[in-house]
Amino acid sequence: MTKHILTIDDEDVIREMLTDFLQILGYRVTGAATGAQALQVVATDPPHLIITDLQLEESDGLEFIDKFKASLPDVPIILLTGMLFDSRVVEERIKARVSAYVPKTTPLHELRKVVTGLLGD
Amino acid sequence: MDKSFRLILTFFSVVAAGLLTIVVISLSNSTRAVKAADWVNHSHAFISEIRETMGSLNRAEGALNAYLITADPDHQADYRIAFGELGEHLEVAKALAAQSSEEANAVAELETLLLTRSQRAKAILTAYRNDDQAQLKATLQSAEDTEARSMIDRVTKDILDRQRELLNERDQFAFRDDNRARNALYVGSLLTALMLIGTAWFIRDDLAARRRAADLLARSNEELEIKVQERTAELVVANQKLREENLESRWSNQALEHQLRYSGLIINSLSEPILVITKALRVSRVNPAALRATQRDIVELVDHTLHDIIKLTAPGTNQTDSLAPLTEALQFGFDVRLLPVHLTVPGQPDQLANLNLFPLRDRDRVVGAVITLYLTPSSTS
Repeated sequence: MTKHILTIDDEDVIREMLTDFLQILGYRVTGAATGAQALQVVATDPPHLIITDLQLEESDGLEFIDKFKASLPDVPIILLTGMLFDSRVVEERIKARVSAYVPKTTPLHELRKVVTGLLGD
Repeated sequence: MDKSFRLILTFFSVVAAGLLTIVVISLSNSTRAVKAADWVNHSHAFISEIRETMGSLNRAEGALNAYLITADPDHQADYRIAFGELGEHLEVAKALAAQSSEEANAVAELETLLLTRSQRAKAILTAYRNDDQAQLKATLQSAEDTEARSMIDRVTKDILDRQRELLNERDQFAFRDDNRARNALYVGSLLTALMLIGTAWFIRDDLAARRRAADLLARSNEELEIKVQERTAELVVANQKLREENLESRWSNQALEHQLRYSGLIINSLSEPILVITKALRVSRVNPAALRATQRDIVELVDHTLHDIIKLTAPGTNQTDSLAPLTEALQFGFDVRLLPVHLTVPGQPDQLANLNLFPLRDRDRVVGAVITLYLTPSSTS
């Protein structure tokens, strides 16, 4: 069965590129521009992996990460953000809440390793 | 039209021609056999009528002699009946001989001789009725009478011998004809069988060749299909790789753009004036706080030298000095901290500030510097 990935980002360009890239890798991808859309997808078509930005238009991505974890506790979550955190902050605060933290400056082939690693492919 | 089909058609045409020839030969032979049978029947009928004629003659003359001896009217009736039958058989024999001049001539000769026998019998009966013994005796003992009877026997024998001879010839001819027809049938049947065997052999070879060609074509198609699939897979992989590279490039660009935007946001949000200068002290970039502090438009700052914007404060005085310390810092690549300066504001008194300079290095080579100004509150000079 093709695995399903949910991507959440309020920038259309980022969402489209991520969708294209993950589809090339053979995944089924659903894009959401807002946290509310993402929660609807989680309820109707539960994904195997969630990739979310930190800064969403309507709220903080961390808030939705907590909601995703409540609904799908076993689904891994990747925080993909353009905000650069101090490494200590990443280790102590961010990684405790998500499966992986990936800066948006990371090349896609590195992101691929993270995705396949989390999905066991 | 297919070459093999043409060849098979030719084979079957030859076979059909052979069969037609056999049919023609058979029909011809059958017709000849029927004619030969008719002729044989005719010959036997002719021989039979000649024999019956001679039998009637013998019975008639025997009955005449008996009548002359016994004067019995029954014998007289017998010889009349026998002569009547003789005439009937002779007429039938003449009819049977009508189509052959040789036979007709022979029968005519026989008829003439029989006529003399009839006239002889009439002469004998006339002498007998007249009781003319001398005439009767002369007639019965005459040498001509004996010779005439011998001639009849000879002609009759010639006719019968000739008919037997003809029957014999006909038998021999029929035998040769039968043999010829039989041989023709054997040869025709053999050739037809050989042609059919050859045709079957050819069809078998042709079918085998077609089957081999079809197998070869199928294998070629399979190989071609595999090659197409391999090539398609290669193209798919190449296309996927190209898309990935394209995406990777776009992703890098957006990441860089995002970082620039993000850094710009941070810089622009700082309240202290910041100026980026080149190694020649020329301003290349400023933040909004610098525009506000200098009260100038960006085009009045960028690409102008730092001399137009700030002046150093001479140590221990409020007088300005040259920018030599900044030039040195750029030349040797060291930081400058809290250096007192005058910030020139058009149409207004200079404003006092402290200056920090941080050299910008590109691979250990100083290419410019970032200047941060800390304005002194209410410090106009």
